[in-house]
Amino acid sequence: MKKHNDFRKSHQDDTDYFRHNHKKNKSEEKSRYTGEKNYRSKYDKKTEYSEDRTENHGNYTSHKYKNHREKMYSKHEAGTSKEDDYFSKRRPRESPEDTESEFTYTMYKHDLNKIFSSYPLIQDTNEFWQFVKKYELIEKKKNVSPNKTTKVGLNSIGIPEEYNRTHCLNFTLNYKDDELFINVPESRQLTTEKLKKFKEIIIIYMDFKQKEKFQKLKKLRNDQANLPVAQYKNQIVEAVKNERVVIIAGDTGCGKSTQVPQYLYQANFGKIACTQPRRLACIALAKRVAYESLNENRNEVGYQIRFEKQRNQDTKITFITEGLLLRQVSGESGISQYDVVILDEVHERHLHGDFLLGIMKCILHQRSDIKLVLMSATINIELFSNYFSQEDVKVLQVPGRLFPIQLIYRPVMVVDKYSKTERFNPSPYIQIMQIIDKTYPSTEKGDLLIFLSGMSEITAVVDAAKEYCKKENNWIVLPLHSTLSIADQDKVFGYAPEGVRKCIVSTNIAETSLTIDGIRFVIDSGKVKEMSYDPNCKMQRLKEFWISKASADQRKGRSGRCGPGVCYRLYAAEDYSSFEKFSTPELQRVPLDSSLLQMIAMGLPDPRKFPFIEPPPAESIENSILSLKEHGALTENEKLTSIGKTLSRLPVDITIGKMLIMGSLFHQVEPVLSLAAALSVQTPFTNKAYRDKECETSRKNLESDHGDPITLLNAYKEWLEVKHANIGEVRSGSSSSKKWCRRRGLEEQRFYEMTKLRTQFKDLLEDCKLLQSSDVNSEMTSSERIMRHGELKLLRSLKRTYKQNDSRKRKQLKIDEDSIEIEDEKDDGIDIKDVEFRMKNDYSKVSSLVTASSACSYKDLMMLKLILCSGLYPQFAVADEFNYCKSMNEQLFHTKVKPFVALHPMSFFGNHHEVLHLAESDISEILGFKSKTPISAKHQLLTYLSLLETTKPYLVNTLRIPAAQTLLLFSQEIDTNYTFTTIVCDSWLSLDFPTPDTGAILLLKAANLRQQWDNLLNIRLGEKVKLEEENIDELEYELSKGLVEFMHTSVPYTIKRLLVADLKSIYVGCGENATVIEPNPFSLDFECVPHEKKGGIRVNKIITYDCLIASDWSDKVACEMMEVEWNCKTCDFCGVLTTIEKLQHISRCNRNRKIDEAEKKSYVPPEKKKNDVPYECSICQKVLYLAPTEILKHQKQHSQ
Amino acid sequence: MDETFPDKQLLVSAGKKEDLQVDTECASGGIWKCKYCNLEEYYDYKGMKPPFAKHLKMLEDCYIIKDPFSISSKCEVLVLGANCSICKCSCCMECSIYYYKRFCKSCAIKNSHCFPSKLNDKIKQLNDK
Ligand SMILES: [Zn+2]
Ligand SMILES: [Zn+2]
Repeated sequence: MKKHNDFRKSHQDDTDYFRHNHKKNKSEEKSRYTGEKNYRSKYDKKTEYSEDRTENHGNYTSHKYKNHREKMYSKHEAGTSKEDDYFSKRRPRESPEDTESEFTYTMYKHDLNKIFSSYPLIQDTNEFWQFVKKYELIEKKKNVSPNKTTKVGLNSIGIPEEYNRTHCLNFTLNYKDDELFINVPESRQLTTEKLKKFKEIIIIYMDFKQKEKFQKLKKLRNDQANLPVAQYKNQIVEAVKNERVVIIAGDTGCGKSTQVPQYLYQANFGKIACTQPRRLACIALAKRVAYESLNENRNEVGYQIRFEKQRNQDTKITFITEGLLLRQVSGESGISQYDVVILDEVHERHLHGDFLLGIMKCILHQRSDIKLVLMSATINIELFSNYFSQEDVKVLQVPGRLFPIQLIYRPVMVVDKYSKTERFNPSPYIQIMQIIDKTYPSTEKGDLLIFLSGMSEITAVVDAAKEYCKKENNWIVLPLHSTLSIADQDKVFGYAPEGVRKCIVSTNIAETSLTIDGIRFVIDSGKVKEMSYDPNCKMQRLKEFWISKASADQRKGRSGRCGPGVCYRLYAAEDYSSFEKFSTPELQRVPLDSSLLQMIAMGLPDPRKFPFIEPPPAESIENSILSLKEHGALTENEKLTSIGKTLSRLPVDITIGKMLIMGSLFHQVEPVLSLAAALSVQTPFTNKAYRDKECETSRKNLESDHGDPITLLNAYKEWLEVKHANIGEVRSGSSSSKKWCRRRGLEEQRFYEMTKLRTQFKDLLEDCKLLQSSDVNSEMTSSERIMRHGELKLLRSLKRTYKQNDSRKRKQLKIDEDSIEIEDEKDDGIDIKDVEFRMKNDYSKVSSLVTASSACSYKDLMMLKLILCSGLYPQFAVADEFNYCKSMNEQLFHTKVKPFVALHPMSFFGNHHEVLHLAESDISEILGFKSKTPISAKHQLLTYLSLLETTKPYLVNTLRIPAAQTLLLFSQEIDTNYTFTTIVCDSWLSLDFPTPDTGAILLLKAANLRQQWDNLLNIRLGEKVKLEEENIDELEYELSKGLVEFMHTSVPYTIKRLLVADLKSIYVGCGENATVIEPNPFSLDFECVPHEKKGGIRVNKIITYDCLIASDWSDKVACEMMEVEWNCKTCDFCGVLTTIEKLQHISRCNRNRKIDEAEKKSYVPPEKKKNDVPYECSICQKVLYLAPTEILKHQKQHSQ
Repeated sequence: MDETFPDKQLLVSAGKKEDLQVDTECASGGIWKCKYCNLEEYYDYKGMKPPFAKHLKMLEDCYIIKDPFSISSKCEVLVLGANCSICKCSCCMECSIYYYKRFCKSCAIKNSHCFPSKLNDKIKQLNDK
């Protein structure tokens, strides 16, 4: 409605035909808390990148159409007539008599729209028609008799003396009338006159839009000039020119993140990389800077993040995540592609940021031409300037814009903190809301931002706050945390209606990451939940801490960005003074494995000597090096292995990376890719999936009794199937996969992420030559291709519509600020994620994804489990021996370093622990063998993805695996007694095999399989001479067959956890039982050496034979063996042998058998190549397989 | 908005792209600055027939950029300014008035008596900006 007024009002001053809407707010911009409709002005003030949320201009795809269209219109070039002619032609001639009073252009909207579908005159036809309506209304009211044009001469400055508003327009359309209206159907009412008039309206509207756009540009430039950083532009440019390192310190809101890259770009510094700790900030900043540099339709400003890249050779400014730049720097592309590196938000001290600082310090010494700019909040500047004191460093301080803030300490009594139920008590927060309501009239604008430590606290306060304002309806309560979808996060940037305040309840994400305008009140709980890391047991701990002084000040500062503010601290001033000065940098509280590996791969000889800005605890580095050795990424001498080299290129945890490498060895890589992707993103299972009865029932069929990873894979597969089945639903709006997810309490976003990540993994493996690239599209038939073409076309247009609507929606918010409404606001119902998914994945691709994500046959599943284990080892856990008689909550497990860990309540086994218990029928008895623990062939272990301590330590993402087999395949240290009846794995678990020889044979099999596996791995990683593909295939086939058989071996044994005290009494000790085994059945080429601590003899890198003190049972077995003859299953040997002698015999037999088999096969020459043909040589009397040229050579040989 | 439009275009002009540069050559690109408000921008084209917006015909020589705010694939323009018809200075859209010809702020004020009375207010407003 208001829009009408605006049009009318504008028209009253006639000359300024449609005055621009944005103007009337000038006066309002000054007062903040007093005016009635002043909220627009607040938001209008320039902030770093808040504007991105109100206007979306990023359209990189639109580009290519331009050229085509330009071509199209070139033929109209001749279409203009001379100016005079033009004016006389469009002179309206209608008189009141021939105007039918009912006539409006709107009646012919459909016909007239034909103009716009043929010519690119107007973008938003809806807006145009509203304009037309208003225009006609005003014309009617004014009752204008059309301009009577009498021919008049030009005056002294060369303008017509009589006023005509058309003279105010400095352009016209490049079409003749008949050309313009060619597609408009003829009708009685749409006379030539009417059409001419209509053309004039179009031009007036276009002129109006021009003015609107120009004002937008002016406002943009003014806002930029008003940023605090703008005054330092020249200083900054000069400093970067003259110094090697420049530190720009300025608080959020000073504009450094958006402006500094532009300053350097304008000063021709070449290619600029600007890092951000967060992905979203990269996208937002790139959009903002592209917008500000009027660059949106070109590629000079781009970004690059984990899943997305929006840059090319033309890109001058790249916003990039710290992690990705670190990868680039340490990878092949190196830093050479950039001339300036800006590290933004360095004060946040993220892991990758800290590593980048160290690397940049090194690079400054190698490359004299590179410039480094650090940007930080005004926190701990000395730390950074001291760090670079040896380089030329210049510090520039940009003052922020901060209004006075009233600080109120309101400590919460300990009793109040948690109500009786031990739940977080939200009432102190509600009390402050009450105070705000009482103290500040609702006409005074200003929103509230609450900082809490975690999700459950947020939920508690959000619920209570909603309850509190139920009656008055004067608050809009919005939660804000990183697990919210982006759309939900965006809500906090919306505008509250008149007299209503926003109450944003947030984690520390709003401390520095997100800037929300209009905050006047802040409540600071003083707490933060942070992940810490115990490097000894590789356990993450989510714990609540007091924040640092720096954090507290940041939080306070949030209230004074737009005007004077109030900050309530729910702790005492004394608490504040006891806070740490700065927050603990991430480097000190996360595992360093991947980062250190990357540094080593980059050429750093000793990770201990990395120039950390603040070194992590030495223990943390040592543990990481140890862990890298365990994973085979480093040798004993800390040199990079080939697997380490490959791992360093994969941007994932070592465990996931190893899974991918192992997966690519076998023809098992597709499900491994899916599984690795599924394990690398946050779990799609929400709390609701476990708490809501309905969700629980509907997700039941996704569960796998093998454990969470397989359940996750099932969920992904089923989701893909839903996508697959509904491939034709593109238009129907809300996709069925969305509904499918909602019903099961799943977060659909995660599945999209999995799909993206999976593609990325695949590319990486192809890059590392571990996978052959495949092109699915080439398999399409032509009709399929046509179908796909049509589908893509539709998807693209949907995406376009979405973008347009999206930007309009946001624009509407902006217009909303001006109290102008544009009606017809309806949800387009486009699921953009779905559209994007379908653009990337056609029918056949989804279909192959479905197959690729199933763990169907049992054999596959066992292999899949093994591959998982190969990545996760040593993350194994054994059940407590009393679990069988305990309830769900009391189920306990032990890892090697961390005893007494619980099953996570949101996991499969956390709800079905009985699956892990031995059934009565699985327990066997062996006469005379006494044991506290049951004898069974069915013992199981859990392998887990991570350890997480919240209220207590939990195993996260668990999978069950056969115990003995898995241990023998992966343990790094295996110790046995004389008869192999006792085998100790990793000085942690002791296995007793009461039946004679069973333990020995199982171990021998395991040792052989491990050797084959290593062999295959080395071949695939290019360590060994490449074999012919078919020979590798054969190796692989044999190995996977062997592995699966091995895993299904049924041998009864007991399993017992060893305690530190036990370890002192189980070994025979140095020098004992050191008899060399000759020949060595475990490895022919390994020279047996005595073990220097345990005693016994090392028969390969892992196994130490006869180092365990013999038990009574072992002695008994040894004696009995001397009385029983043994039959070899392979040959017809029969005789009395000790266990080790039997192993020696078996391995000799196996070798002989293999040689025999090889001889049988040898008639096919091993070096057969593709274009070889059989050639029967009469002289050699052999069939040879040779290439035609080689045949000639061969014949020549004989003739010589 | 007719969604099929761009695709139609695509079919019509498929394979011919290069030949548009020809007439832009003479007047394309450069830095332009308003004498009054110091607005400084890079312009894509100066003249009356912007090659990237063939549907428009300017009635004066204008400094024009491709519309940086347009997200759609339509070829829109943004006119930055023009030269004053009297003093020839370059001025932006806001620091000048167009009536049959371009008049910069100071020339418009100097000659305000020569303009139709309906423009008086508008000329006065130029000073406020
Ligand atoms: Zn100007
Ligand atoms: Zn002038």
